[in-house]
Amino acid sequence: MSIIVNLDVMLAKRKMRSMELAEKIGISVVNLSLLKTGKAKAIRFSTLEAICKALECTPADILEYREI
Amino acid sequence: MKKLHLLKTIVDFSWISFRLGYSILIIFCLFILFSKDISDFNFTINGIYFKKIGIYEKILFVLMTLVYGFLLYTFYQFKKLLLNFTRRKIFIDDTILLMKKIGNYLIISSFIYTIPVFVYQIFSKNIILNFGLSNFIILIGLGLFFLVLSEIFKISKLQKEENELTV
Repeated sequence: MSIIVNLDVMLAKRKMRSMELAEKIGISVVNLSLLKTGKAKAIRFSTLEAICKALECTPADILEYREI
Repeated sequence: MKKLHLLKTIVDFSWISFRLGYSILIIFCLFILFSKDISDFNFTINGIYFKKIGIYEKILFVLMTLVYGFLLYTFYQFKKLLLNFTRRKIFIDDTILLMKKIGNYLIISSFIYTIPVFVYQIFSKNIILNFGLSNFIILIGLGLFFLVLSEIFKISKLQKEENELTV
C-alpha cells in the first residue's frame, strides 16, 4: 500500500506503549496493531482524531504517502 | 434464528423421506429394466404417458432416475448450506461455493431432464406443451437465483473483510 502509517515513530517520540494508546483512544490492541503493521484497509476520522489528540500531533505526523 | 431452525428441521426430515423414496425408485427402475414382460402396465410419470415399455422408454426411465439422484445430491448441498448458516458461518468461501454448486446443478439437471423427455415426446408423437410454470422454468429460475445469491454473498464477504480491517 502507498499510505505509510508512522505510528511506531510517534509512539516512540511520546514514549507511549501501544496498549496505553489503545486504551486512551478506545480501540482494541488488535485493531491498533492492524494500523501499525499497515494491514488496515481504512481509518475512520474519529479514530484519527482520537490518535492525534492522544499523541498531540497532526495527521501528517502519522500518515505518509510514498510512491511504490 | 427460529425460522432457520424450523427450515433446517423440515429439510432434514425431507432428506430422510427423499432418500427412502429414491431407494424405492431405484428398485422400481431395476424392475422395469430387467422385467421381461411388463406390457400390461401403463405408466404416467410427470405427465408423460408410457403406453408400452420398450428400449427407449427404459433408457428414458433410467435417465429420469439419474436426474432425480442428481437433484437429491443438490438437495444435500442445500442441507449443508443450512448447516453452515446455523453455525453462523455465513460470509465464507464454503457457503459461496455451495450456492454456486446448487445453482449450477439445478440448471444442468433441468436440461438433462427436459431435452430427452421432449425428444421422446416428438418420437412418440405425443407432444405436451406447457405454457405456464413448468418444471423446466422453475428449475432454471431457482438455479439462476442461487447463482445470483452466490455473487451477492461474494460481494458481502469482501465488504465484511473491509469493514473488519477498518480501524
